Amino acid sequence: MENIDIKGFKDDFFIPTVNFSADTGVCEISGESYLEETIEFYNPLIKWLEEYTNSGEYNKLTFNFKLTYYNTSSSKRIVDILLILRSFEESKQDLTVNWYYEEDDLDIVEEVEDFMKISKLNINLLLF
Amino acid sequence: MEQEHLKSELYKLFELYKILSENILISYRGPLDKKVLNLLGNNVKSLLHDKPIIAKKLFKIFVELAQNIALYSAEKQLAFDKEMQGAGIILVKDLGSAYEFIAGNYIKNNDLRKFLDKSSRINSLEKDDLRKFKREQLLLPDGESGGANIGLVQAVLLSDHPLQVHVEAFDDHMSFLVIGVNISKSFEDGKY
Repeated sequence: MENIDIKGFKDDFFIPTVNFSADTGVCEISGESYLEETIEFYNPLIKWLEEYTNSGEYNKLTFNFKLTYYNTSSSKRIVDILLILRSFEESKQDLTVNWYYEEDDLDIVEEVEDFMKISKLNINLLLF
Repeated sequence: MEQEHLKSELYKLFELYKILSENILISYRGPLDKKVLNLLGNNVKSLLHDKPIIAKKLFKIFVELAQNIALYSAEKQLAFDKEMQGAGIILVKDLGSAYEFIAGNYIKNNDLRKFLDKSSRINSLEKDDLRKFKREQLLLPDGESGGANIGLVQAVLLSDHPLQVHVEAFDDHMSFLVIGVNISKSFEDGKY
């Protein structure tokens, strides 16, 4: 599988930096995600994850969320990603999900709690 | 005659300028395209750089409500990207003990009832129920039950204040909708 490398920028709009590696099994989304229309940007990422988790070739995945800012349209795509990770874990695979946050950002802590409730996944909250 | 007309126009502009100068940190009227969003968003961040918690909350609320205008305003204007974008007005006011974020735009009268039902439902919920409502909304497919829901829920959760909603009748087809959100300065004391 090809890896995904997207460099985030926030000139005209805010897209996050994305590094998905099939070689290491480490996937990371970082930076800011403030797109109005999120489907177009996130669909290739979701397709990649589906392929990775369904191929049967890989049994280990670490997903690191390092988003400092994201809007609620992006939250919907984060839920899509978490649900894929959940089914990967359900098929007895080795999954770790980490969420990095800034110390004073209690809003994100609550949001991650909600993401855990929605996906029924354990997400490790770690300080940047 | 023309001269006098111009004079009164200029006077009105000065009145408007004075209104927009009172405790106002940011004011903008026009299309809310990505360039504008980026510019105003950076302004929010840098004006409040010494209050990082509030800056973050205000920035997030700004993005949700500004994108609502961009998507749903009944008034469209030609924007920088040469596309028609929803237009409206954005104000950030310093009220002393709190900041107030105000978003105003035209809304079709046909959509008004639905919006008012949504906002009063959101305002009627306590925090835990509001989070539950948000979780349900996050699981809905895009476009179902109107995307503006989660953005408004998010604004209330971030500010810990109900939405202030004001509607001004305009004509048979449109009304002017104003949404106000208060963000208390005490957030910065870590008291929440």
